[in-house]
Amino acid sequence: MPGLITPPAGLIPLGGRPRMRDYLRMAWERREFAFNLAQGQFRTQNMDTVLGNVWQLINPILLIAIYYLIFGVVLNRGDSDIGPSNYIGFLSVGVFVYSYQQRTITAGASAIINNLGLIRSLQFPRAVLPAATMVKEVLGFGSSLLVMLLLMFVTGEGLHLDMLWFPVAFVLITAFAFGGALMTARMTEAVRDVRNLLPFVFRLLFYVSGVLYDPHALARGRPRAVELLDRFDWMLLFNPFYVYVSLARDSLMSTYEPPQMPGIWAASVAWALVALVFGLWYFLGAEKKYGRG
Amino acid sequence: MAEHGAPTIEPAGVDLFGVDTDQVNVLLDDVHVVYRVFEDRRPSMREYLRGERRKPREIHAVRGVSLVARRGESIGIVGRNGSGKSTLLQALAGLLPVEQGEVYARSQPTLLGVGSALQNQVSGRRNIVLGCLALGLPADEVDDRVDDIIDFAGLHEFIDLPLQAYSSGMRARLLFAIATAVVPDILVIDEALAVGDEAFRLKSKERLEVLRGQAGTVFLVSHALGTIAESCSRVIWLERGRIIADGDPDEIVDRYQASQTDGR
Repeated sequence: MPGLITPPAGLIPLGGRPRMRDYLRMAWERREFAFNLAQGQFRTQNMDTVLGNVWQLINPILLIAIYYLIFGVVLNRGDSDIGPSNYIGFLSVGVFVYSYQQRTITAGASAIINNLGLIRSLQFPRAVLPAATMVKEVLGFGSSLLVMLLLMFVTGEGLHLDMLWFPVAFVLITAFAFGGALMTARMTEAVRDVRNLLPFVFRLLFYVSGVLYDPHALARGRPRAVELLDRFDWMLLFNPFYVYVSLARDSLMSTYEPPQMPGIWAASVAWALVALVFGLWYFLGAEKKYGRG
Repeated sequence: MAEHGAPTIEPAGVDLFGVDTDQVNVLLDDVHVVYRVFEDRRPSMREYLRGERRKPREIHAVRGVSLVARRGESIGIVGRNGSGKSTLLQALAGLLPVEQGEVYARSQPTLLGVGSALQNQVSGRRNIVLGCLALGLPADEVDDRVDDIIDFAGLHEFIDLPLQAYSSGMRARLLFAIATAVVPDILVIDEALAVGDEAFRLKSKERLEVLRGQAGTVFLVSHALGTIAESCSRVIWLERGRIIADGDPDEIVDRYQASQTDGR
């Protein structure tokens, strides 16, 4: 019968959920492990290509070129009458920030199942693994950031003091994505199919999160749409991806001011906290089960 | 199976009065582990028409094990295939949820299993660094330890090859060397030493002695009864998920061996 005896002092029950504070401390002690693992993955990811990690630069440039061609030129979103005046800047911030979050959350889905060997052999707080994938994506974002700042400069945004807010925005953007990565890590461990579903989820979100267009600009000229958007534009704050894309634009672009601005900052902080706290809680729920297959 | 020697279960399993509680590293309180698996066969047409759902089959692998492990003990576990040894170790390491009862430990036990590997596609050296960091060693200390670990594992020539090029014995040696680089309070070894050669067996035996000396507790499952009798201070005999004997290594190993030959 359980509970018949009281355990001697100093012994901890192994089953069940670890205490959050102890867990976070142990995970923090292993930050070097997360960095080391991330660096290894980062180094090897393009090793089999001729250009190696130059792809980190080529990828975002090609991506922007294609989106600009399709949406800016062919579909005419770049026309400053209907879109933001600096469409290339608008587009590049949107695409880079969105795909950064997408990559982090998607990589989180493989964090546990790609490291089963480590999990089965050694004891460490499992949340270190999604943390490592996050670090890897942060490293990868460096080159995107370079291209983005360059484009900002070329397209006439110039340097301005608001840019100093970008690091703060980046922390919030990353915190939210890490929370998401913790969730997908556990979900994929339980049901592998999640990994196949994620690309479609992100494709859909890509089109509804204002990455390619400003929803307010889209409504312009259509009184009914403007009226609706005026009344319901707070609902946009319920889409975290829209929130973070707007947040990044606000700090990096001087020619574009996202609507509902104070709300965007508040929503950014709120979404980051919700994702982190819920993500950790959810991930920890299966801490003892990871790797049992 | 009680006819093979009268059960000498130490009542200490649940009776802590005789034990200095500071000396306890692991405490198992009436632990049960149940696996639920679906049978791998198609339901017959009749079952299907009757609307019988596929029901998981329950395998009660560990049925009420209680035991107290003290500091400095190395406990061997013997028993036939399917007697619940590996399951018990996994529950002990906190890797399997228990159905009933509770496992208490002074710190998270480290489990070394056969066939476990860290990262197959990267070199032995990087695996050592990763492993040490995962165990919580600070980075500056890791550099100092790497050479010791390579020495101990005896893998100088192969250390820069990816792990997938290693034999199972080499992998086991590397993993043992890493896992014992940080002195764990509780080390749980499941057959992992069986694949090592004679030289490594002696080295690992020495290291286990050191661990025990530093107030650690070692659990060891092996079918090599010689190893158990040699390196354990106490042996537990499991049969169908229950402890049927617990005590002096030589005595229990002898009785277990006798029962095995009787049964044939």
